[in-house]
Amino acid sequence: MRKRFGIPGTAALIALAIALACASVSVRPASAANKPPSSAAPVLLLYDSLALSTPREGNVETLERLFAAYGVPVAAMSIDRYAKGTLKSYRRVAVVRNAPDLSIADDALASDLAAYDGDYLQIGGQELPGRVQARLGLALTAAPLDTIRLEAGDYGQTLSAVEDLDYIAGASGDAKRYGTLTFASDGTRSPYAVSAGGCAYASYLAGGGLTELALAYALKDWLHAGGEFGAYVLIKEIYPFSDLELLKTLADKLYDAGVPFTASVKPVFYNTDYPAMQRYLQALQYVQARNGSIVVDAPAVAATSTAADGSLHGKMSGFIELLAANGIAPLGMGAGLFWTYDNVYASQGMSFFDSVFLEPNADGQHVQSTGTSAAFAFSPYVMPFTQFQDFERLSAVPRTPLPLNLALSFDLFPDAASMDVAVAAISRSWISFADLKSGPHAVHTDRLTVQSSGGSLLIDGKALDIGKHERAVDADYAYTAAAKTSFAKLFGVQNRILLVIIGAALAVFVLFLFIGYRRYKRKFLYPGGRHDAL
Amino acid sequence: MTPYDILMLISVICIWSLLLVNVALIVAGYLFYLQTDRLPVPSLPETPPFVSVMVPAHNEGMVIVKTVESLLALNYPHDRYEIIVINDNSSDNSSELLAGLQRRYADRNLIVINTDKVTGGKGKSNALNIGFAQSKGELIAIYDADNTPEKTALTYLVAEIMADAKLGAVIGKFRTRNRNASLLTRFINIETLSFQWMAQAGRWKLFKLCTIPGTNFIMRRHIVEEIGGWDVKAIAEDTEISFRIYMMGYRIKFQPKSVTWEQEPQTVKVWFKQRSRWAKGNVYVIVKNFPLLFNRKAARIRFDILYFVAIYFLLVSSLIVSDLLLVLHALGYVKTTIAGFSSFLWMLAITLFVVGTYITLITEKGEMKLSNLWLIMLMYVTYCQMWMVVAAYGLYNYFKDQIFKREVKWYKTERF
Repeated sequence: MRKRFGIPGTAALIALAIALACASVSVRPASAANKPPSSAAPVLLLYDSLALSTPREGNVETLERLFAAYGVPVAAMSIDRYAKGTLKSYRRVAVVRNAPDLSIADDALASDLAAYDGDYLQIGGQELPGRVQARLGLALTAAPLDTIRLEAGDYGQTLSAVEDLDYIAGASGDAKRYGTLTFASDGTRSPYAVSAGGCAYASYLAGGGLTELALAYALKDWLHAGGEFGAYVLIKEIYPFSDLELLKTLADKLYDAGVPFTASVKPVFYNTDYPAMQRYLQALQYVQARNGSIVVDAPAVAATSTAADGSLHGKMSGFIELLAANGIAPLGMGAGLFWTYDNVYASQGMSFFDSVFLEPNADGQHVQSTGTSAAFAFSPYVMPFTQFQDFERLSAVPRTPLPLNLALSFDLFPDAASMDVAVAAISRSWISFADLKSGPHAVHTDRLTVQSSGGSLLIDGKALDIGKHERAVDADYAYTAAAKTSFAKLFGVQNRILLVIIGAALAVFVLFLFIGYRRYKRKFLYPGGRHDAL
Repeated sequence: MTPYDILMLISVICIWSLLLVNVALIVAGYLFYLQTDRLPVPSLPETPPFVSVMVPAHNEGMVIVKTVESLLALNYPHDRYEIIVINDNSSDNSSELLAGLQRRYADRNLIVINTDKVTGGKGKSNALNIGFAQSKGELIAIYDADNTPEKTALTYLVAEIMADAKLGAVIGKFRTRNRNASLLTRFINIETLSFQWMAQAGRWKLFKLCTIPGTNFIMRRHIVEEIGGWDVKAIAEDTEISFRIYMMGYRIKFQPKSVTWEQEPQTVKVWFKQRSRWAKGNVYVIVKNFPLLFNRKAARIRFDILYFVAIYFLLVSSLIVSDLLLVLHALGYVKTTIAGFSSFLWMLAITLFVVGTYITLITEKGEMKLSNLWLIMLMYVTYCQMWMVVAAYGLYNYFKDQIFKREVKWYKTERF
């Protein structure tokens, strides 16, 4: 297989360069030390249905994020929109079959697949190209609605009421098997996925469950992704007006627990001289000093944003430079997947980074969408820690290496109690979390370069002192610049003089008040006093 | 720096200068209170002088009987004073009521002069001139038709003026009879007390100057004769005659122990009409006497002229200009860059106003209560601001009268 991949691999790299140029996505090449792996040739992702309103909804996006986690650009399209001959541009194709009732036998895709000899992955469905079927020696059987137990790596999960699942009843002996499916009704066991010689098949993929991790084991081999992967703790939703004291306490607790972590911080583009911003920066400095790494979260996109605006690049570089000026070294970015499918976001907002934490899409809005995603040298797969907690651990201590870089995410906690619970859960997980700054990451702006390597942070090549440097924030900050005033000196002098005069007069009045009070009591309140009323 | 800044600067200087002057007056007034409170009122001469008490009235049927009865009850020797009520062109039942009083008190010196629109009806000054023509007293005392003087009021005034030949007139104090009737009368009560202890007592203490308040005062007959009676064109005949007394070299003294109680307006409408009339009258007097500022013989009263000019012209125009500029600046029509005083100073100044007013209040029985403190604060943001409108309206009316040559007539406070 390696031999076969040698020449096409080089060709694929050239093809990637062409594809990126065609897509007008200007992603800064990663540093030499952090180049995307050889698996970075683009994948054509085809799907028959997005499976909306079914348990499989979101699995196409999940697959896109999984590819992104391996630094692989993806060109995703519906099989309906497939144009004959498209396959010729790709050496890797992934097909997601969510709708068993939709056949592709008569489509242009079927004929192109018949002639296709590149790497092929299919998830679900029983219609496979003959070459793939033969290579994998697959025997697929449609399973009735059932409860299925999935085990992959060190984890297991029971999947309730799974329907339309085609399980692998048989596969060729040399095909590598990944994970196990056990049907609750009759105890039937089958591999979750198999792969052999650039072909792979997985039975089922649903977002938000263990299938994400199970498929990653198969993808790792299918994409020939090498190296060691790590698990990261990612804290999200950090704003200038978050509870910064809680953030500092969290940093202390994770530091004490020996857990390195990454804080994804929302950027601020305006009023960066305000005290609130200074306190924000100081909190981030503190986080960094407590072995936390900083990544810049994607800014919220306004509904009115347009491609013509062109301000994103300047804003993002300004924030990165502001962080750097305050002794904070951002090592990457956090963004929704849809950012990678947008020319403007990718070229203006992400081009500074070679490391991006890609999260599931929220309410994303494109400015200028493109068909092929941008890829990054380092792009951990972001999974909420609550999802990970749903996985059953098959052994007390994890033994199987992770198949991809995995970022277990938390939103900054609303209170200390929930923070304590989460920190305790992290400590109990027995996962050896990796320190982001131990790896090579680079951020480039027009004016500076931020890098990390071997646990050190560098700004323009100079090592950064990450000790705590608390500065007092001016509480009397003038939020609006004082307007130029006339007669300021005159009023200043008069103010002082009048303060003395009025102060003295007030003192005299208070004395009079005291005298008046005594006199009033003597004159009007005591019996025998003088009454001069009518 | 813009022209508006200069205007604003002048306004601010005027406002603060007057504030400081008033602070000095309050201090002096309070010292005068401490001084007079200890001293007894001079005694009457062995043979008390004959006094003519004049009461000009125009449609005062509602209050005139009570006023005359309280004047008849004064503890001044009954055979040594006469009461002359000038019922000036009244269309109500005043003449019948007064005739009834005359019948009931046939043994007393009660003279009623009824005029009609031919012989009278030309205002308070004219009525006073008519009454004066029939008076016999060597001293002339005047009370408004809505007054209830205390029994000792006249005695104290006479004793004071007879004790010092340099005094051309002596003025007493007036209090608010209906002070608990409404929020407005509570404000007026505070205002009158504060004004008298500050503007009257303070000026007397510092400059030996006072202004005749229009009621509860006494003056020498020969002075009235020498100045040719009251100026019939003047609405504020009291202020007018004060200047004329000063010019003759006499002084006007404040004797706070002589007290009369008067009925004050209970509604804003009536109050506004009364006060804008006073303001207009005072403007007339200021304009008329302004040349005295440059008259060497009037050196002693320069402060008074300046004080009135400052109050009715400078303060009013300064407040209007500064408020106007503030509003225009806020609306973006005018650009001002002038610096200002610190908020702390403004806060101190307001505190000073509240404390200063309160110490003048607690010189009187029944006024030392916490509610008065709140009232003063409320007064600062309401009544005091209304004064600016009143003064401005009075000024406007004065010039309007000058342009259209309107004739002076009775402007009286409506009764209720």
